[in-house]
Amino acid sequence: MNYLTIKSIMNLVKHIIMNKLYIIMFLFVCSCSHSNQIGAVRDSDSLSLGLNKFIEQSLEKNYKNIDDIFSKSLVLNVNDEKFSGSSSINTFLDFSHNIYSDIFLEKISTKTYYFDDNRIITYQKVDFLIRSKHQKSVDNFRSIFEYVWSNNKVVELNVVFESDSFYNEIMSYNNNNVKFK
Amino acid sequence: MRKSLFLITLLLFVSCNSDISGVILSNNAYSSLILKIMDDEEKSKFDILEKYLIDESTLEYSEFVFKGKKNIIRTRMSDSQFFSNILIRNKNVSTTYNKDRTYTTFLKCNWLAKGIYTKDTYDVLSFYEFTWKNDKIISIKVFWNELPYYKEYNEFSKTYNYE
Repeated sequence: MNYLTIKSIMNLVKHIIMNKLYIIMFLFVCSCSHSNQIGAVRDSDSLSLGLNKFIEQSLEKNYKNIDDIFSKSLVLNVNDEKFSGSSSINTFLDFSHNIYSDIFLEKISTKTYYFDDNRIITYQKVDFLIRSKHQKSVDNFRSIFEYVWSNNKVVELNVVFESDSFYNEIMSYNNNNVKFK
Repeated sequence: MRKSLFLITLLLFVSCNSDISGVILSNNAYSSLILKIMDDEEKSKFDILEKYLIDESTLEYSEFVFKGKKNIIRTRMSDSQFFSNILIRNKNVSTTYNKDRTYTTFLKCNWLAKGIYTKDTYDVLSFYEFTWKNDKIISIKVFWNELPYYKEYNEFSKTYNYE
């Protein structure tokens, strides 16, 4: 086999590879999408990042962005206690700072679901580390926040705090103060 | 032809690498399985759940982490020690395929029950997150308002003078 034959074979292989490569790449990239896809989940979009900032600021008693995020007609549900209006967020955050002397963020994970039918819902899992004012104990608890968006504002917020300390704190606070409810 | 194929590939490649961490799937088999598991939970039956758990599976529930098939089933069964007439209503389920090639099934529902010790009825909002890998559930995270549990436990402790 002379040099020219080898070169022409190499060229042929190169040609095939270059042409097939696009098809292989195309098929590989197409495998990213699912046929029964009805939406996308994002974790570093503006809504998710904005809500991470909201939690961080709330811990520092900085409530200045509340009106930018929450609708005036907000429905707030905290451990099955229902409140309404964006001001209920301030009331709830004040209450939290009243029962806990320190609240720290341990872990946060935020994902926003963008459905093809235009529904947008953010799920935020947060682990807090807290020091109680009334019981003087230090505890950590898990929580989940579900934010339902409409016209770039949160219209519904459902919060579940999974903590016996939260329940005990409410009992303790209510025994010493005006009832939270 | 080659140019347009290149542009389409580039476009899809860019969209694959954006801030999308997963895609939401409709009519997914995992969603159907979770609905069956929750239907069974009302009857205190856990055989379908058991089938999809492995020894490495974990359950985050009530501030604790339980590991292994046996521990998870035992924990799920413990609800019936404090509650009767358990019903799971308003089930809203969605499954996502994640960037790390796992699947997550997310369930929002209302958990209804009657307390065995207080005789109170409860209706609490609950969230469940199931993570799937190789067709097995590798992690379950439960978020629910634990007030019913503490009320029942307190009543149980008073009744039986149990510390």
